[in-house]
Amino acid sequence: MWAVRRLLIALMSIWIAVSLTFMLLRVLPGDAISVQLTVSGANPEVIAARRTSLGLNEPVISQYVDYLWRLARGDLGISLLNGQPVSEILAVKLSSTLVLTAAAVLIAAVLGAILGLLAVRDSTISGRIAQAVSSIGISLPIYWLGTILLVVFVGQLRILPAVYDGTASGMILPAVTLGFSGAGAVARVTAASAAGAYWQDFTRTAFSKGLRESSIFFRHILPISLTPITSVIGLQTGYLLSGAVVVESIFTLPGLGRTMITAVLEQDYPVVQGIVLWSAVAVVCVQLCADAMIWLSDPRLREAQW
Amino acid sequence: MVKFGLFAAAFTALILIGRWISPYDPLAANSEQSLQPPSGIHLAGTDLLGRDVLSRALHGGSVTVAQAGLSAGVALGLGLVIGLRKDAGIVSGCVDTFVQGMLAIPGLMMSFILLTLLGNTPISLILAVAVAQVAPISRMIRQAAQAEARMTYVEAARSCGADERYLVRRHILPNLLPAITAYGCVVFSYCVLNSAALTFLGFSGEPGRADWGVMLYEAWQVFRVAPWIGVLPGLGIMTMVLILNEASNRITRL
Repeated sequence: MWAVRRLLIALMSIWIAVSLTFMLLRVLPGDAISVQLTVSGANPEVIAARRTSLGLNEPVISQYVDYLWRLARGDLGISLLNGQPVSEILAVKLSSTLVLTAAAVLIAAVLGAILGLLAVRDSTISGRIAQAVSSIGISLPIYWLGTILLVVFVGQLRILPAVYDGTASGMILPAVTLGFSGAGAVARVTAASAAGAYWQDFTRTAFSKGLRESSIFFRHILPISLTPITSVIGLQTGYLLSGAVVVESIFTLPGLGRTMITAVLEQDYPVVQGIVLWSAVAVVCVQLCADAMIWLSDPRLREAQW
Repeated sequence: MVKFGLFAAAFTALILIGRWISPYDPLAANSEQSLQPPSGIHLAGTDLLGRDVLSRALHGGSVTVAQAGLSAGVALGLGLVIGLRKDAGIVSGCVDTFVQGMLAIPGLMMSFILLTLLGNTPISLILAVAVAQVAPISRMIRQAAQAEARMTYVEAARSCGADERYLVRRHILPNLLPAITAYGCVVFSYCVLNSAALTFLGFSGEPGRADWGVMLYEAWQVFRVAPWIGVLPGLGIMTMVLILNEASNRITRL
């Protein structure tokens, strides 16, 4: 029951996100396409013919129905710039973005959990350092961090390539850049939940039984602190996808982010729409997975919700 | 407490008066002075076009912060209107659904939709940064307001015959104000980071203007030869974000 309901909500959000993007891009600007063709010096007849062939002269409602119908069959439309199908562009660019975000999620989760658990004990030196590092992670602009890493590892040490060359070493700097900025947020949530776990009754019981602090930590505090990490990662997907756009342009990765920037500057809205759709699907799916994992791992939630 | 206040005030003052204490014109290019390292003449060095980095950073601070402030203001205004709207009716339900859909779209993508619509101008940049924050703000305000509306004192006021408008204005909003201010500081910090990110990516509306994001882009372009260009704008953004986060924490703890 829970799963069915949650799935319906997920599908609903994607549908709304798609419709919202469609309405905003198709209705308000009126004429992105004629702007496009006028700049490139096409005459009015060509513009009119192009608009008719793309169905832009039809009523919005029928355009919308048509769009959803095509979408349901996997047709995302064609780029206004070069006539390439949007789904083809996505398929080509998706792989490097996926590798980048997956690596970044891993770094953010592991580094964030370690920093967060260290930061709980703020009287120790390691705790203070962990707190400082996670504050830096939150406040350091990702585009500056990328440049700093380029200066150190490419400019000075010359041990890593500046431009992505398809090898794993080309992915290190982008993944670290994106992962570190996510780690700050993960660390904060972990620290808060671990601090909360210290005040739970079962922790006090464990202490009064005379258990060593390290075993209390690993048996009681760590497991309960890790649940929120799953949910924060679920919530961070959108943030990571936004960050990926920036990171891809810093390290010139051939991913969706740079395609997006070109598409926005050229007002190529089918491409913009396609990438927004993909991001919304990714955000909703990851959230769904995170919710499912939390639901499976914490039986209390199952009872509370249903 | 006092230390943080003084530091925050000093930094804000520096941003406000930066325009008038900068030693050079931030836009004056001088090809003979290109990429000079920091020295007595140019305290923070010069960039590719020979412009003084310190002057650009001092001017850029007010540009970036003003832009982010305007975005945060627009976002908070819209968030308040959406979050504190009347609860009943089909319109309210539609708005809820809309907000739900907006939450599924990553912030930067939301900004990109707006930039595709409005083109690359300074005004559309402000709106693009603002619109990315509207959905989370309105959800936060709405949840807080609904929790507040269930309190007994609100029920008491309602049973005395107070109408909804009066309840929101006199009871719910004043009690939410600390939480909204604290959240507003965080939103402001996001706006600083995001608007500099967009100008970094080339959506400043006017290339080359003094702005922390644009400066970091220029630093990225010449990272092999002139690593000093990014230091001041980068530290500026970081300091601003840290101050806003700390302010938010302190307001929450009050």
